[in-house]
Amino acid sequence: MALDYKSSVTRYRKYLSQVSHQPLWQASLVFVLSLGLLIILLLFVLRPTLITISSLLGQIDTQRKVEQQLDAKIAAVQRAQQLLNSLQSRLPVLDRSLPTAAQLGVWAQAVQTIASGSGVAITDFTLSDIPVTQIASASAKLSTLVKINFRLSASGNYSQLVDFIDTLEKLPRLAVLNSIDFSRQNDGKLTLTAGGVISFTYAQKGY
Amino acid sequence: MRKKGIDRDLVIVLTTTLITLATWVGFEVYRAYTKVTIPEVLQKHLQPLNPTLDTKVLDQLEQRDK
Repeated sequence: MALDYKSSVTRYRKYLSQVSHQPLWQASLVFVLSLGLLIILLLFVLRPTLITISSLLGQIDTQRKVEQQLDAKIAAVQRAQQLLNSLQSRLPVLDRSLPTAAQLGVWAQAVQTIASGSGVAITDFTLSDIPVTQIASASAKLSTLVKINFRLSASGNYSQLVDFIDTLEKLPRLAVLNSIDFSRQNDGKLTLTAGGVISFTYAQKGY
Repeated sequence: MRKKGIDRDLVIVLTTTLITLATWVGFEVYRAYTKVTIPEVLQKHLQPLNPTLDTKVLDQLEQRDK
């Protein structure tokens, strides 16, 4: 079944030569060709152009919103800076309450000092959960709050131990006491066992 | 009669194609307008900042020091 295209083309040409002079056929041809041209233009010219225009309009719209948000953030940062400047003189109390390093030696010395001042003898002092291996990674997280548990035992009479606890709670560095336990020894003295948490942060303070 | 039929069919096909194309282009244009992504780095900078500072904590800490 070979396609006899030569005879088909010949017949089509003959048909075209007959009908091409008819006004109705000419109008119809113009209409059909116009539709075809419109389709081609829409597909290959209008579509990419319209997409580019709408994409650019979308980007402009988005960038305008981004600009508004950034302006709002800049204003917020400026307000925060003003507030920080106004509170500058009061901020060191934060460093004392929540230092930016463990400073365990300083705190242990402070506890020893108040123990001596209260007249109690510290018999046991344990610091646990010290994040030695996490320090490197934690330093990258600026807002990380590191908690260290402590447990201490002290002996003395009741008033001395109460004074010691009272002073311990009033130390400049915040210490949260979770448990306090009194027990009587054989010699009549009391033994205090206290547990709690001290914290420090790696936050880089901007002042 | 046959030629008129072919013409009419052709016009219908072309018109339908044109409408379909116009709809498709319309959706593409809408998608291009709405599908604008903000880079992740910029999104981090766009996170809102609360400029207030809880001064009550400072007051309490100062009271504690006294």
